[in-house]
Amino acid sequence: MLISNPVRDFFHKIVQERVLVMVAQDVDGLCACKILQSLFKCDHVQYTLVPVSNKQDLLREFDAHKEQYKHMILLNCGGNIDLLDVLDPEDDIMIYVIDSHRPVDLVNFYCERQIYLIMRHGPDEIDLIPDYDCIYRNYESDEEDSGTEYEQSSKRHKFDTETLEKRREKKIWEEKRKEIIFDYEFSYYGTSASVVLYELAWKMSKDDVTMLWWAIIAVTSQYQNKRIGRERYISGVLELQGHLSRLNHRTEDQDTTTMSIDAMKINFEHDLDIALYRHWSLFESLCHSLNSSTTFKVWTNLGMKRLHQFLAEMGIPLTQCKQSFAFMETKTRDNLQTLVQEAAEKFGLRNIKYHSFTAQCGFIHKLCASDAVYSIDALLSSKVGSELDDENSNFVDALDSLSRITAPKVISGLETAKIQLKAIKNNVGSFIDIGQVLSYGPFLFSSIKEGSPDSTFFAQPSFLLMFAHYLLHSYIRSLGKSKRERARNLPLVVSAPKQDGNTIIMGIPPIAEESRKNLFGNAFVHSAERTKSRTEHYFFDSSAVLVKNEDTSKFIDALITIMS
Amino acid sequence: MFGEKALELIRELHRNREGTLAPYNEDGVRQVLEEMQALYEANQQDVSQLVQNESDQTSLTAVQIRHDSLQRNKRCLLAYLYNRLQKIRELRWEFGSVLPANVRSNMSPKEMEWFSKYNRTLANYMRSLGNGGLDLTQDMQPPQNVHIEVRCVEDRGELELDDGSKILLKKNSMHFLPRSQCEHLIRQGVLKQVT
Repeated sequence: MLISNPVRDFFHKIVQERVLVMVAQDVDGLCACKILQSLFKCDHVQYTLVPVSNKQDLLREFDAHKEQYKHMILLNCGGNIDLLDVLDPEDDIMIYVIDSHRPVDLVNFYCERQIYLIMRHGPDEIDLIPDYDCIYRNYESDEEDSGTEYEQSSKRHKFDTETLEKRREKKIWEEKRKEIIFDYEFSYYGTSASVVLYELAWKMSKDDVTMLWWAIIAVTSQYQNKRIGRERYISGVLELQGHLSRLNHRTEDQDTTTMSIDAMKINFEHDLDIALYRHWSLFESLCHSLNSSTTFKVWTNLGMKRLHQFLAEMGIPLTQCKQSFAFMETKTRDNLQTLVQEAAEKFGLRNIKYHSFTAQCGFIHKLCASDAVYSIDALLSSKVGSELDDENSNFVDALDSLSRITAPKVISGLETAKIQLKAIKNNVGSFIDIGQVLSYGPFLFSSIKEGSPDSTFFAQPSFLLMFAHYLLHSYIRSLGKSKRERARNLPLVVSAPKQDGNTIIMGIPPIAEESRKNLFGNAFVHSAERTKSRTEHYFFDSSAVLVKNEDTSKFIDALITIMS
Repeated sequence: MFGEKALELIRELHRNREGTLAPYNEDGVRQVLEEMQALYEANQQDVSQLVQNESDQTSLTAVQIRHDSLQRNKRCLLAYLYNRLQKIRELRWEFGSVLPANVRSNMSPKEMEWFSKYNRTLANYMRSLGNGGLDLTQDMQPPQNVHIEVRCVEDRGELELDDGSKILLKKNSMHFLPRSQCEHLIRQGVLKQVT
């Protein structure tokens, strides 16, 4: 059920209660969690916070806590699964869902009790949900039909024409329903949970700069992981910028002299869209960013040459490019943005600049939103391939690093992020050199072999997702002109082995798809049904699935037939 | 000069840092007492002479001075002891009924006796308050936050709170609880405060 007034129907209802908060382990979930925590702190709401990383976790934690809590909040998870069916909650348990995963499960949306969805009421969110009548008429009419069939079977032949008419209508309706549901089941991402919560805080006049920073990080992470397209990112950023200027204005009204330099300040600026360059060297950063590395094709010798030409064009000495950004000459650093942009135009490097935010604390700590996202993403997946306990301590680390931008964890996260980016770059290069990306007709396919040096990384879905995007972009750049146009419309499927005998299969939408809609969720389900593969729809994101190693090949075969 | 030793005791008291208890200066106290004894005896002698020989008034001034010195020594000694007791009382509120060993070693046997008596009196009083007694030494200042954020370090099963509701303490879960409920668990190392 959709909540129309979140302040009244959500927050004021739980203020007197003890609540359980279950948080998905991704950046958006974490940021949302921080915002909610500070709201709870204001009102002394007692809560318990549990991280969940997949559907099994969700179920397990729910079962463990359902005795103690009557109010549960799911942050960035659960919106796209039928909660009544999966969790089977007691009648007095209220579940509030704030989730950016779309599509929203229709049962969650239309049930009248227990499940409450908090989401934005914009036309782009609600209108996409099919009308109740289109989906649910058949239950009633079915019963009615069967009822008449049993009770009045003797009379039935008399109303032959009527029943026939009814049946025909029903058939048409059913087909229509199937179509609507099929259209609806494309998975994509809506407004981030953090922004929804930030707006809640704003409506209660409890928002501050720190909360805004968390919302910013969440939106940036959606863009960085290619969950939303550039247009939606820009509109999201502009909205946040409105909030920012309002907050800044408010502090100016008070007394500027009382603001300490150590207080956090956020600035809105145009920034270079290259990874971690403030904490790395310019050269490395250009090599490892999605945009620049694919444009230059850095995995080839020619590409490397072109990158060097690019640096020469900007007139920055190579020694400076290769040393840490912080030690570059101040003059170069100040002019870097204009230099890069001018040179980028000549080299066909588009969208090198984008709107972004930076946060500053004191004189030393300056962090831009995308760096923060890299850092947190890395922290969340840093201790890979170990048991569950460690996953949870990743969560704690990441949460700590969000609480202050000066936290030492941020730096260690950045270092891990660099290692991950290096692994991505090396693997992408070798995959393209050996030709490991294959065209299967309806989609491109690439599989990561078991025992490859970075296989521990690949077992992490968040890393795999980033890798898949890099691979797809690089692959398309590596093709000739004619093939490229076709390949732009093809999605990519990657498979990576996990240690426990399962394989993660993940699909990402084609580059040309600006809305970032992903049809694989549905396709995976059908393919699994058709081949009776042993699969688990284990992740909150429906476009990734776990398949038993032995079943992988037949699963992929079925996928080809379904998609073509 | 008379009174010098007693003044030294007061100085020592004054030199002590705030909130610490210096060792009981038994030697100093004894010397002052000896001095007082000597003064008293000298006075006795002179006075008895005065009584016998009323015409000789020469020693009267000496008696006056000795007497004043006696009075002064007494005041100083009392001040020394009283201030120490005040300090011990403060320590009782700070550390609870059992004092740390290094503090105990600085106390005289008499002070120990006073301390245990004071303890008893305080405990009796606290027991008489309210229904089941009230620990006055808790929350000497109003707490900054009623609730604090804690993280669970180990699996400890269920915890029943004052209001009868239960929560599950599971490793790595985070909770926002009333401070009074989790203080002892933090001391035990089950919970960790998140700052």
